[in-house]
Amino acid sequence: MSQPLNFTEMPGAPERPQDQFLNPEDIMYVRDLKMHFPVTKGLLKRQVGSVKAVDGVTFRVKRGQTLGIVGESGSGKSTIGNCLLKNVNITSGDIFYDGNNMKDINPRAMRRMRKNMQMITQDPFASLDPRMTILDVVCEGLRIHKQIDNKHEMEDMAIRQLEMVGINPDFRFRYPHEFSGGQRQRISIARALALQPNFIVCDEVVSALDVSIQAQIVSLLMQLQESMNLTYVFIGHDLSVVRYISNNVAVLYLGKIMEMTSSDELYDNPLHPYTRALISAAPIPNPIVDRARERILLEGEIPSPINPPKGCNFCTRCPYATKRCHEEEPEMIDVGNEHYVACHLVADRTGGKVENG
Amino acid sequence: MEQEVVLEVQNLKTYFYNNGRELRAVDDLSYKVHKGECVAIIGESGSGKTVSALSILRLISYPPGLVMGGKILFEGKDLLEMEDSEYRQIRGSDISMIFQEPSAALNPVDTIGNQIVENILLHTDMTKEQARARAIELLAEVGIPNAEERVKQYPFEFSGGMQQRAMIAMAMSCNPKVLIADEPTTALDVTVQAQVLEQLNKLRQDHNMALIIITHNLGVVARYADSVKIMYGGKIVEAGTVEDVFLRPAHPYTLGLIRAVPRLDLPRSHGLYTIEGEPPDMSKIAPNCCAFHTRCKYADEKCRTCRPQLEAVGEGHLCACWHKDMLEEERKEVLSE
Amino acid sequence: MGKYIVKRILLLIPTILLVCVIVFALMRLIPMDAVAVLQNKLSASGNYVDEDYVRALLGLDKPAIQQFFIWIADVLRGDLGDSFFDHTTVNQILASKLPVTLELGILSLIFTNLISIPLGLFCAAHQDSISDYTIRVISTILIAMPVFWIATLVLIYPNLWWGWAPTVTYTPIWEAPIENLKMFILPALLSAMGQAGIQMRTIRTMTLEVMRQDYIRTAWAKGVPERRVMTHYAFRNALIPIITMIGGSVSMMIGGNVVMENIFNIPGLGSAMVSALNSRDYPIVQGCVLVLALFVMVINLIVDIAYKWIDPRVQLD
Repeated sequence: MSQPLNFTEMPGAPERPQDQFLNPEDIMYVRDLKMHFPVTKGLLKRQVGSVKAVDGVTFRVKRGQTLGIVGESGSGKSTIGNCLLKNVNITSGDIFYDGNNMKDINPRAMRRMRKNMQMITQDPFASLDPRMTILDVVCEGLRIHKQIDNKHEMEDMAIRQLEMVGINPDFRFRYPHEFSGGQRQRISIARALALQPNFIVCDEVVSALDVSIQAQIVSLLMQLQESMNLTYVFIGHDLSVVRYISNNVAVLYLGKIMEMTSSDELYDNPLHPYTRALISAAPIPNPIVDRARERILLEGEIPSPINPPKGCNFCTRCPYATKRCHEEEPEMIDVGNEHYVACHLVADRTGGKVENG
Repeated sequence: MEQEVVLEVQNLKTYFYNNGRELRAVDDLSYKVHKGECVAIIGESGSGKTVSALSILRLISYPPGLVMGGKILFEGKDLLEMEDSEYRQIRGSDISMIFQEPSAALNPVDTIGNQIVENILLHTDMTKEQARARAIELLAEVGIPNAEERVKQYPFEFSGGMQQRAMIAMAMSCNPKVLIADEPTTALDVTVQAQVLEQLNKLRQDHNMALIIITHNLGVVARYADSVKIMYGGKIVEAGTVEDVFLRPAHPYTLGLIRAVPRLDLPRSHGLYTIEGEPPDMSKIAPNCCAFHTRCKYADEKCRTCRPQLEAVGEGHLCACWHKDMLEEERKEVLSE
Repeated sequence: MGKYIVKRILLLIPTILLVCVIVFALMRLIPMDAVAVLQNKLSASGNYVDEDYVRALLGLDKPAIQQFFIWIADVLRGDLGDSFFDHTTVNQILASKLPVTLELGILSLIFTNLISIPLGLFCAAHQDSISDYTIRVISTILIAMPVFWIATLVLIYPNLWWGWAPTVTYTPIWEAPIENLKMFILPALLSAMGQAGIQMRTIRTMTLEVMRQDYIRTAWAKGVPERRVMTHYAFRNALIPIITMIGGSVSMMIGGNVVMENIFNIPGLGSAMVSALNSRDYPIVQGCVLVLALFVMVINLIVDIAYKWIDPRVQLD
């Protein structure tokens, strides 16, 4: 599937030697991504500010792995998902997919690429025509991309997809509303997989589901990942779920990554005060274990992304914030072991080196 | 030390009627709530957990819902037998409730202050000025900064967390003996959820108030609850103290549910157990079977034809399952982790 | 708030100008101009006019643009012009007929709301009861029946049976209020009925929709008595869409009720405009439309301000 990296096609590429920032094992590399939405006022739609939904995030997604993005409302996690699939025009930064900068991809190649990149959302059927049968739903992508012309072949394909996600193919002429939330999520997975993608953004896919169904969908996603060598970006607000499904987790706060490391390391050795608060806020379903844990309660609420605080984004709620935190924005540092943190206090303590892309 | 019983639900039956179909949303539900106790009712969607709470406050309206039987004893008096006017005095004062979506549960066209004041005026002899002062006091108590100013604001000027705090202030305004919280933090952000729950728990302890938390979040229950009821298909399938239910689960559903939640404190390699199938369609459950049999790996002919009753498996620990003994091995496996 | 109102009033100016352009242009786009219509009428009796002479007399010989600016200049001075064919000015016509139209409109508006609001709330509170059902059936009948037909029946049958006929001679309200109201009540009530039927159903639906909201459940959970839940919670919230509807019906009613004016012989703007339109009496039509448009715009402004008053979430800017 992977194409050789072609740097002659990228403007400005020669300035940067390829090994410095593009690794072949990364299917996606996002560099300093910013997505600001204008805030307008009045009749003339004069711009009075901007919502800094995503404000400079850098991360890599390894082929065949899952990157989890965890954040609360206003953290910009869903915006990142939309940016990755180029559903919105990004404000600045670069997104490299398979070694190609998405900015440089012409619309036609983009359409081809879109097949490889799919998205699953919390309620995908909210935006779909309710009169489509689930067979139509699963085949829609095939039809748009003219993957298969033959009607029978298409139906066979859809049947295979439905079986794969655990939906009885005999139900293929039914309508989405006849299915439960969990089944609908399975159907939307089948739809996303119909085009044989290798990269899938999952945006809050299990948030609205019951506990037992949530476990089923998470297990299904992991099993499909293994059998089809899929890469996921898994976006969610529930740290337990995100951490469980992901190899690496990025903790997002107000449009910036606070901490990013492997899932196990994140729980065993959380460094950022926000990560610690998030871990503490997620109760563990075992009364003895949970009641013995350290309880960190954050003051206040998430500030508005229109007017983020000066300095570190988290300084208004951080129990350890110093004067410096209110003035100077911390840089992302690598404390070793692919563990990145953006916090002055951690930087001072570890003397860690500044991460360079 | 056993506190006195403040609320007792006896054989509550709440049925819904849709197009001639009977749906037993709550079917023969019984439990006791002691003074100052935190009772958690756990269930998935359609398990009847919310309906059971709404039944206590007599908020089920016909059509389509009807409380078909049972008693709800509050301090010895049956709430279901009371006249409307008498019951209105208890609602919002002795028994109050907070809801899942605070943004939808507050009247959008009235100030936060007026909504709290209204509740106080309905149930006490306070003057408007006194009630207003009390409202400010309450808002401050639930952790809303700048309460004197905030009291004049409208719900849309509050964040989700603040709205839920305001709901709590309103529910607390007449010193309730029982506070029912229906998924109080589901709509809130994780860190805000922790703040609000901590606040609720503190208020419960300060006022020695019974708190009934209805939720699907097992972690929240493990953290705060004293006793736990697991509901499935309109019935309690397991009940006991929080330690009983989480550490010595006796019902296959309880055990499955506990194992289906990803554990933050365990390594990823730990794996996730899944209960197969979907929660049952309540209108299709046959009366003479265990509602869980379609999803249970221990299910046999008996489970399909005969409904298990709640039986004691330990001191105050009840379970409705024909095969609770067969769970021993699986339980050991889980507990060894 | 004050700033908002000033802004909205300033915004009225370009809107009014646009209305002027449109009404002026539309009048001149109708086939056959005033003189041609006159010629047509006279030719039936074998008479002819010198078209060019009459056009020059009425100022219609000038280019349309020039005519427009002459008219606008007059309007800005507060003079809406003279009628082409009657010895009267548009200002005089408005002075005598606008109060009549407004009275009929306001009365029927009052009736519409007096009927629809209580009935709508009652039906919502007693959803699917026999009375709800009956009221809804009656409202459907009222909506379905043509108003002019009922009006005609009212004129004919009481007279046949009891020898009673509604008053059909107009007396200004400041001269004989009782006589005046006697004349207006019936047409106002009749024209209110159809609108009341529609509005009642909307109020019922809106209130029911509101009754399903969580905050109503909160109100019950607080122990709020039913009557207060209906008025303080349900109706106040349902009022938001209802105000929009009332705003719409005001514009409709003020626009002149030609049918009622004709049947009950009420000297209102509606019939005056129709006859002016038929004889292509441009100044009358232009002037009346302009004034009515101004009224409608002011009412819209009032509705928008009412929104803010009812719904604190509304941001006026």
